[in-house]
Amino acid sequence: MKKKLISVILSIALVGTLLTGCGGQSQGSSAGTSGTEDTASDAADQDETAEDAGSEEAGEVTASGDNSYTMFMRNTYVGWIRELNWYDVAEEKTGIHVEYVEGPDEFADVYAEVDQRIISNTLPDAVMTKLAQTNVYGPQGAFVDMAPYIEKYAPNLQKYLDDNADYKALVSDENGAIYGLVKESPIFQDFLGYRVDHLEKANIDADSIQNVEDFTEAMRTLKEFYGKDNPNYYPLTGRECAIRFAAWFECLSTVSAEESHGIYTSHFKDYSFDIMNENAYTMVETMKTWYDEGMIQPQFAEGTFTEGDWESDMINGNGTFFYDYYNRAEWFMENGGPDADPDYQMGVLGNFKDASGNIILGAGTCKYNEECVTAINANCDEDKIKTILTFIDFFYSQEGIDLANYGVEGESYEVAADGSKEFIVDYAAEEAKPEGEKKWSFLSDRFTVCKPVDNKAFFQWNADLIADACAKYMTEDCVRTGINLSYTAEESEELSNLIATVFDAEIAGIVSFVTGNTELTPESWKAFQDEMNAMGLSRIEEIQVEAYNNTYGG
Amino acid sequence: MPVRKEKQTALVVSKKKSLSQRLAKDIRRNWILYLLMLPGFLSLVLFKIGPVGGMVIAFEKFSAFQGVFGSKWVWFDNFKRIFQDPYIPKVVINTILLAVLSVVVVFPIPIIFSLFLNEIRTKWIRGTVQSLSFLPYFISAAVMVSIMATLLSPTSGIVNSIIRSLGGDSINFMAKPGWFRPLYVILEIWQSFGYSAIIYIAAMMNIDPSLYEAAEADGANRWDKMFHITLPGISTSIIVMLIISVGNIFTVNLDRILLMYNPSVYDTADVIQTYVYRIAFESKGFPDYSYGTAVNILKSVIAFILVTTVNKVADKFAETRLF
Repeated sequence: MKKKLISVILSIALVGTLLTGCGGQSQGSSAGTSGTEDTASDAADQDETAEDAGSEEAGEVTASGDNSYTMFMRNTYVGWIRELNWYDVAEEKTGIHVEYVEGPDEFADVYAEVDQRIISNTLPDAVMTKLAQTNVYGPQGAFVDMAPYIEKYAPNLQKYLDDNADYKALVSDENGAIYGLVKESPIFQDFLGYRVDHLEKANIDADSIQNVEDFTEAMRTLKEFYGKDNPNYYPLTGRECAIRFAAWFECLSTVSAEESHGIYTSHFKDYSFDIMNENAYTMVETMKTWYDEGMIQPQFAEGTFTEGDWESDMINGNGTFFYDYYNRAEWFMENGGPDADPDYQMGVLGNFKDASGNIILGAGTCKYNEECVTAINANCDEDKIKTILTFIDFFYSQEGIDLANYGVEGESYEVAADGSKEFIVDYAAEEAKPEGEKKWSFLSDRFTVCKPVDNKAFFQWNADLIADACAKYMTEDCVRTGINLSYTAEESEELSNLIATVFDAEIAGIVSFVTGNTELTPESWKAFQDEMNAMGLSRIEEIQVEAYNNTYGG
Repeated sequence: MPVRKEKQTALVVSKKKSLSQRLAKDIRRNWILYLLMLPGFLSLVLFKIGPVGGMVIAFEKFSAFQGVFGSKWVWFDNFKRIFQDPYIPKVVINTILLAVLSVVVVFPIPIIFSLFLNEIRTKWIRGTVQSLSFLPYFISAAVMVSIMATLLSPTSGIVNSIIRSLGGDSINFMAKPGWFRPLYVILEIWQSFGYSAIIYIAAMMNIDPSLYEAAEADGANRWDKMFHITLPGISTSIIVMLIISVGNIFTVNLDRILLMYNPSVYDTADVIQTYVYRIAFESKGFPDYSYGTAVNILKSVIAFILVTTVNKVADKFAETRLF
């Protein structure tokens, strides 16, 4: 009897444990939900903040009921939001509190979790997703068509839509429905950072480097100067993939109403190139020269140099040049450069010039970031939709734009006599604050909330080295602004599958030529081009032209 | 007499109860055993058999919102796409080459290792070696690849230091397409041979010691005993493990490959799993779960055919079978 009893208890316990893992779907599936397990730990603090806000600014409005909503977002973004002083002010002014549901860190995982939450009916009130998902799930009924509600509850956002036809075209479907609001992004290019002290010691005048030929010659001199004592010295270094110099050779991927060249989708800035362009052969030939003569870090050229390897090389004096994110030169100044070498000084070179002396445009970002899109759960009732849109709308008002880009007058900025705004808080001091501590920060390249971006403020909010370089080289004369394209679900599917194949194959092919694994001759290059076209490159270009015309009515 | 026999048979058949009746009777008699089986059975149904039903999305244009039952049915469109996809042959060849290398090179190592380990007479040495060989099994792929990358680093790795000290030039092994497969296999051996060896060593424990004593009496040396007693004694385990290995022939270690992946080695490193991963999960557009599932179903069907074939062959030639 005792054995039987133990058997029954054990079995029940095991079955119970097993079924507990199956979970339920009680949270977040409907309007008015107030968070999930992920937000629980922060809820108390945030409620307190919101309640204070409500009492001060919005009278009887409090952060409960329809004055709060839940939002699923990548955890890194949630961390950033929690550090922002201006974000707290925005919640105070609107009396609306957002409880963030933290997603994973990896982008692919974030979007996969959106799918899982849709399947399990656990989507919070709002979600940060990507345009490709809202374009499909929106018409199917997962997300709210915001168009009528924007007209009703969000006058500033409506004005923004009316004033920005490209934005409206991007976020609206053929019936005028809006299922996702795309984040605006600052427009910037990568910078060619360099060690000022290295060039000076090697008697190279930085101003004399005007084009790729000058650059190659400067690297040759540097290799001779520093390479003789340091076998690990390579003038040009970088991280991950080295196929990032196409702008210098004027062979970026492009798209227009008439034609498209190369893979433009997702690669209008990073890894933008067109292998069919005759200059692409020159690019590969030049990179091969760099590789053969030890001017480029070989592991970087081969695609195996990690971010840590690159940073270590630049700090330890094993490299002089890099072409990377616009503010990286400052990063090296702040993260060990001067500690490793007292003479350490970074600088930024301007855009190269073509044979006629004209500035060659660098590949810039798109104005709208399709990977950070705010959508509203279709289960939300009108009150909840109103709350969400009211909060977003605030950031499209002049007051909201000023707040999100400059902060609070007298606290973080002041207005000069000529009406221009100047930060009065120190960039370095604010950004150096420990993680989790409140600070003034205006890094609009980060996704925090859906809002318009003031490029001037974004560039101004940098250390002097970068702010000065931005003032000179982040102009329309220097940066090619990326173009957002809107695809149908079918186009998106076909394009994604083709790019998944062709892009990696293109990179692998180019790297193989550069490193000498494949002999570079006009014949082998032509064979490579033909192979890529057979794999689907030409079809990708066709789809991109179609999308351009669909988006902009070409 | 024959008539009587027929009558008897008919009587037996008519008395034989149906399966459900027999099962009900068995459950009543052994209900405690069935009760103890219940958690495992539920786990199997809920987490192993049940999700297989989700593979139906391979025949759909799956949308997470419309669900398995609401998504558009497209019959074999996704499978047709596989055969029309110009990139599929390349990744299939890469996968098979990697898998065949894994079976041919990796499979015999633990057998040889366990045979030699069995010959060690000092217990503590044998135990220590066995434990040390088993340890890498618990190390994650990320750590294993990091260790390998450090050892092979062209600037600071010990392997390249030796090459340079011998007058050679540094080689960036991780960036050489030709080195990808050997490195993958070396990691596979490093990580798994200790684990597999345990199975063979366990099988060796079941060999009757009197066989060794008899062989010694007949003047057999260690090699004779190893090849004529130990190896035949574990042949059943070897065949079972071989059948399982063949079943996993398309199942390469995705984590390890993704960690070793770089533009220089795409030519040899891009396999079915990495391709499906790019399309289904890393897609910049709308994730194509249906296509990914279709590729995986096809992969499973081929693996099933291979396993069945090897099972039959083993049954015919070695009189051992897994099922």
